[in-house]
Amino acid sequence: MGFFDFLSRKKNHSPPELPDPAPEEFPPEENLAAPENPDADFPSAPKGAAGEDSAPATPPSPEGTESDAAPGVSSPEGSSSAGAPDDPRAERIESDAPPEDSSPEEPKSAAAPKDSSPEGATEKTEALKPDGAAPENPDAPDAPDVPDALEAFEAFQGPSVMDPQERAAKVKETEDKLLSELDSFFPDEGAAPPSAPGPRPPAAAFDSRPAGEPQAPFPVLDPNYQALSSLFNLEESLPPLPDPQSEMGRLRALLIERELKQIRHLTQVVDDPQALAQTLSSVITEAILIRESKDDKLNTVLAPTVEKIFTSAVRRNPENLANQIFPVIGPAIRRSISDTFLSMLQSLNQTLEMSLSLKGLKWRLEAWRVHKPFSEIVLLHTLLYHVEEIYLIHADSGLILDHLVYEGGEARDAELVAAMFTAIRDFIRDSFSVGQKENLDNLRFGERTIYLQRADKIFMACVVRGNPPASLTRDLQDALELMVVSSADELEKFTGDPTPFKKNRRFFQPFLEAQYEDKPRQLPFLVRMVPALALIFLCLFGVQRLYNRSADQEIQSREASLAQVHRAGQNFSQAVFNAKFEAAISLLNEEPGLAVGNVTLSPTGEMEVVCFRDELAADPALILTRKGGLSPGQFRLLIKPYASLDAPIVRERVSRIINPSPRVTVTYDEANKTIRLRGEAKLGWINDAKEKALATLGVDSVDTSEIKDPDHERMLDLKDQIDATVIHFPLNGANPVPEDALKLEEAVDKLTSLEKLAGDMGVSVSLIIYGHADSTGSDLFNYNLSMDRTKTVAALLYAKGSTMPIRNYGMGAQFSPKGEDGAPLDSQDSRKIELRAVIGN
Amino acid sequence: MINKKICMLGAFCVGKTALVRQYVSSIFSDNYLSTVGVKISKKVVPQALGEDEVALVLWDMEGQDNYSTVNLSYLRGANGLLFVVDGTRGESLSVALKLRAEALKILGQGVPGYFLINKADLEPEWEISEKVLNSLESKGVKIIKTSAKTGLNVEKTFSDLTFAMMEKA
Repeated sequence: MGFFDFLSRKKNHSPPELPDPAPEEFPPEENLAAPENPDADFPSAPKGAAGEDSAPATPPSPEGTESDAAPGVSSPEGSSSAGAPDDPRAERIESDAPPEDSSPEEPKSAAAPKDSSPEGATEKTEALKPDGAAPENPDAPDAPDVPDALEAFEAFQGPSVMDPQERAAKVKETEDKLLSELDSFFPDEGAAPPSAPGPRPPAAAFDSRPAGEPQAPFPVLDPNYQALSSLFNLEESLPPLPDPQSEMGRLRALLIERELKQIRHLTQVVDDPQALAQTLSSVITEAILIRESKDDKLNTVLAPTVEKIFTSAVRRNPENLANQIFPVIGPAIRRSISDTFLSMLQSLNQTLEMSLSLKGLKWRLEAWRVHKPFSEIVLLHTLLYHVEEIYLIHADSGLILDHLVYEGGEARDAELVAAMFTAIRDFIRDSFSVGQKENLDNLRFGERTIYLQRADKIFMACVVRGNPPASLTRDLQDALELMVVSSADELEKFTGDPTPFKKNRRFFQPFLEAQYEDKPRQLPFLVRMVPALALIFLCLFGVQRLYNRSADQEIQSREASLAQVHRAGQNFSQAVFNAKFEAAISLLNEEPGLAVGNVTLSPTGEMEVVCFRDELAADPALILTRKGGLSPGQFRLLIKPYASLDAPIVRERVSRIINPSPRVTVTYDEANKTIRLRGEAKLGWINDAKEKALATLGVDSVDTSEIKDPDHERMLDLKDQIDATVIHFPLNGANPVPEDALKLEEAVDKLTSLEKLAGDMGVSVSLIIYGHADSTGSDLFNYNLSMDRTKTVAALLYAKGSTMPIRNYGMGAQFSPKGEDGAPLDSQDSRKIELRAVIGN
Repeated sequence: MINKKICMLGAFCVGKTALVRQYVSSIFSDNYLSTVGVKISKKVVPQALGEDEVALVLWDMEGQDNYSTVNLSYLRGANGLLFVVDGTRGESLSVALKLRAEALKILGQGVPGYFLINKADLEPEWEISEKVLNSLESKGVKIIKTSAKTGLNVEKTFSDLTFAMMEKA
């Protein structure tokens, strides 16, 4: 049988209605399942369910349509869904099937017994799917339709769960895959335990894909697709087929039968627009996706078409478009209009309110004084805002450190909100891939603004209602930085406990409080209007009277009122000046060393100020002009000298007299009139300074307990060490015992250091040596011996170059203990000398 | 009250959100998840390791098969991690392992993290065998079988994790 004969036969037996229901059911399911389960050979549950739904839904085709040889009708799915048990067509197709078709049926027939009812349909599916069993092309992704249908059908036939064997195989496969992945994820955590299976080989039997190979997100187009379609186009130009009955024909059939069948199937798919559409439908989305990711030509190509569609749709039915857009644009327009109205109303309200109130008049005056438009002054004073909440958040984790709410505010779930703020901030930063330094600064909704600020590890979200001045964010940032400094340690060690951060509330509390300055005591409108109404009434009355006068009178009165206004202005500015002047004078009085006496207005219009000034005080003229804001022409100073007892002045006075080095600090205790010196200085200077300070005005006593002369201290220290030295001698010997020889050396060294130090300081130093002997022997002998002992030391000292005056005393045995009965005692302790260093005269 | 941040990670449809829902008391609307890629909820655990109360802030991250850096920045500062795996889908374990590797890069080793093998109510249909789980456990990964449907081990998971995090602190 010829190729085209076969095709036409198939077409003849395929009714046109059949393909429709089934193809619509399966491909979407396939697409759904694809990303979750990219292994095409995993039959998944959803497919089964779909099969169940679709197969019975397929209408049994009427016999009459069979003969319709409509072109492009047959599709494999269409045929599969023809499997209604009572459909006799199945039998016919089977009997019409060419003899060569029966051979591939054999291997599949093993599966047939489990299909209880529509055997014919199953066989039909097989017949139309001759390449289904082709071993060299198991993964052919362009043939989803046929196996899909088969799977669906099997799923329909079989139980809803997988065949246990199949399941076991699948679990085994997953297991092997996961185990090998496990090893790659824990490379340095030792070898796999003995229970783990060996490497890949067993898995390879189940999985033809290499383990590490990334899985395509969806089935890729068959690369042969293009070639096949061109083959199809070339069909007409191919050389004629040999007669099937000829030897050549039979040989041909014998040799390339399998390939012919494949070609036949593929050609069928390409040839039949329905089938082609069917095939394309399952890949078209992916194709668009792939193309879209490669370049933007798709947009360019589609744009004119879409524009045309849009234009014609709008032209045909503009109402529809309006209906669609209205929900989006409507609120936006409403919002915009209401915002505009609101702000207009607000400014009107404010201006009206202010222009008629006492405060308004005050502000008008202020505007007039500082030469600014009234509106600006109103704005300045009504710029109200309210910090409602402050969230202090750990920047990394998003955990809350502290949450402050204004009094009467609603406490939210701070932990959740803090985390959400962090997520939003991260989200924005990641989405716009901005640098680490750039951050989301604020979020605005309605009249609330959330200011987001960050310092080091803290992230702050501050909910503000109203219009805060620009300085607010600066101040908040300052407070935040204070917190970073004061809680640096806690931040470093933060593990989720917010308690240590409560101490920082003092930095933020002021922001939540000082908001109500201008809001309170709103009197009822009418009450507020009373003074204004009275004023208007008076004005009207005055105007009426003015009109009643003659022109001359009018001019006169106008001149008079102008003069009045002028005078009033003068009075006003005078009052302002007076206030300013008083403030400046009080500044003078506050300044140490200055005192203000009489203040009089001179005939030339200057204020004459009698000022008592200590020679150490600041210049009063500078204070009046720089701090007080007066101009030099507005005052004249009459300076009278006097000596002030103000603490800073006394301190300064003493300092000038004693001229301390930078290492000395001078303080003055006003209550006790005591000058206190601290630090280090030469003894001579200290004594001198004390004397001078005591002679200074305002000083009753001088405290020098905290000022030290380091050299003097060292001298005293050396003296103490020398005085503590005792050197022992052997019986009847004038040279020290060997164990004390070193001690003597040291003592001599100390004496020479002391002598040098004293020399530097201009202090004299001398030495007294007391020699002792034990009580054995005669008194004379002991006296001489003790004297000799002192001389040994003196000699040693002089040998070292000392010129220190030495007085040596032989004490004999006067101070040496005797035995119980007064008998002499041979005591090593008694044979010694003692040293006394004497500083000064 | 001590606060702790827990991140829940895992592939699509493994039941992260369902687990959270089983557990928490307050939660943001579902809209946030699709907008920002993370859903945040809170649960206060009474009495843990000497503390009166611990507030767990759960960051339920959008299911990711193709995990991206956007989501992973949410991991910063996490005190505990839960990797949720769907027992009936082997590949969800692969995803969890990948996510674990990424999380380790960001957080280092010190953060306690469990693998939750979810859908324990469907255990007969699991694709992930005991052998795989044993192997995983032998690598030092703590595994808990959970079911968001029946609530199996859900409370236990969070209380164990809270305990582990408090010990760490």
